[in-house]
Amino acid sequence: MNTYLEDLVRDAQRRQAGRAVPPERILAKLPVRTTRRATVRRRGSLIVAAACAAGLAVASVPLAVRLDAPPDRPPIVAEGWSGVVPDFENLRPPEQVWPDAVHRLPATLPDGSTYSLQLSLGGGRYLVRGVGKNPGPAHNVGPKVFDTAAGTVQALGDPDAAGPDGTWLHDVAVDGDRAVWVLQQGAHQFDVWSAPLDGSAKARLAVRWTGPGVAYPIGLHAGSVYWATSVDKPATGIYRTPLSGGAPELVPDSAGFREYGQFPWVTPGPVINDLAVQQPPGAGARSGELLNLVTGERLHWTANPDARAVQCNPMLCVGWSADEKAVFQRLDGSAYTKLRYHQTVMWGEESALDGRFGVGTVQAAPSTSWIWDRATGAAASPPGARVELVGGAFPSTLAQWTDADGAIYALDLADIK
Amino acid sequence: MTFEEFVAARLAPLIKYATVVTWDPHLAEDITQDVLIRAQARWVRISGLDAPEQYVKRMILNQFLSWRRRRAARQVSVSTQALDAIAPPVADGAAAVADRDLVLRLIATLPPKQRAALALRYYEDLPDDEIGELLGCRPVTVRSQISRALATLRAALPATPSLVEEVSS
Repeated sequence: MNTYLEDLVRDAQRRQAGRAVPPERILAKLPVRTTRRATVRRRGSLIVAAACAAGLAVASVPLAVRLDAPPDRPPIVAEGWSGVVPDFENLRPPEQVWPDAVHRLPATLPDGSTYSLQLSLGGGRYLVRGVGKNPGPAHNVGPKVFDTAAGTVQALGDPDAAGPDGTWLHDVAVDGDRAVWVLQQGAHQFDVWSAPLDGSAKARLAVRWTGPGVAYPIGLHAGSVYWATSVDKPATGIYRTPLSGGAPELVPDSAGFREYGQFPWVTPGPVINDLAVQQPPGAGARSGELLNLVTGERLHWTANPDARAVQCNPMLCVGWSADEKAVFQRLDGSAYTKLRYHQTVMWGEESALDGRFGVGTVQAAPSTSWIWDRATGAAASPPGARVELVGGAFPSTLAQWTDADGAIYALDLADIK
Repeated sequence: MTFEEFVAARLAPLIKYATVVTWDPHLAEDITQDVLIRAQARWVRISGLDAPEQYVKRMILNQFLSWRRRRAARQVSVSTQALDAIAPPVADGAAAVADRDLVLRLIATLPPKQRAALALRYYEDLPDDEIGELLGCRPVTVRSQISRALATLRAALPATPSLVEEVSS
């Protein structure tokens, strides 16, 4: 039916679109470089907003979250998925399922400024992104150590290093007793900085990509930064550079592989990843493999014959079926479980800790956001809130959400045994 | 495409999309900004998708629906009677213009999901199954949401001959 009323609705919506705020108002809050003066102002607004968007998350764990195989880290791939999928619409809140790993977070640092969670260091200490209305040059976009017990904040950036405009804290990790972070400058430059967590020495520029083309850091392991080449070009493999410096070297057997947000696992491109968009029937590979950049382990996956498309992490695969339902399966195609949720546009799951944890949303009514520990089978859903993994390209170990009252909660995945 | 290039090329359409979905230019601004900041952090991955803009729009819609849940307790619905007081039916030659104005205001009173469904169908021209996936419901529910939305608008609009004749089918 194409009625006068529908025409009115269309007209009303076109007029509503005309009421949209000028793009300049938002551009002014994004780190797009124009002039130095303008950029400083924009960056200030941006980071304030970033804190609102990403939430202010803090969690406590007994030991630091280390990317170089910490001894306290929970077993991951060894504890496989049972093949059972939770009833996503009847889950308890995370604070009931994992009471020791969920933390309600303060809204501000002790000085009243806002911050954004990056990593848990344990013992009530956290790596955060300090923010303010005028954060200043690059050193102020470095991480800070927030000790909630002592009520102190230690900036790790180099106070003498005035960075260029448009600098953005891209990722944060911990390497032993040092914090390592990636500053993105403009679109293509990623600098890796390092500083002792106790603030006993100035930060230093550890690594900058010196190979051909454009590359960005995807993870850190055993003192080396791993780099993926730009997604704008064919995948040439994964490179690594010691934090102590040196030329990037191609990780053995990684030629032709590309990252897909599951470091240290990579996959041959092209990728139908967890952000997959609609694919025509039959599109995408029916089988493939994953490569562990650290151990060299390879995992083969194959789509169940009924699956239209899948995307796999080391634990399981998610996707959708030929009749457009959301599905899970093991990497070998077994334990194929078709959910009742219609799904063709996108199957929104992100995974963490080598696929042990999944965070996603099922398109129920209302849509339900969940987090699921595949190793234990436990799953939870914060009522009326959407769970998100914290972080950028580096592997995330924290999930967070905001409740109906605006309170922010963090779930430290590394704290779940 | 870099994040900066994406923003430069697609920011205005994204803001318009957010404005139509939220029916609130200021909320649209907040949501678009939040979403772009999050998208920037993951741009190396998002840019590798076949349709990054579609993904960012999905983020905007999700953010709106999440935002709606958080702010629901502070939102005040406007009754049809109140709207009648604001914009009483008119019967003069400017009826068509008045209808448009009234529809503009009435849509703002619809439940957010109905509002979003209208936007996705009549602004984005999406089919019902895709709208259903975006809203988290079945296509039949999409149709009922839109039907209810139109029924609400129809009931609130002045009973002009053209509307009675064309909409009642």
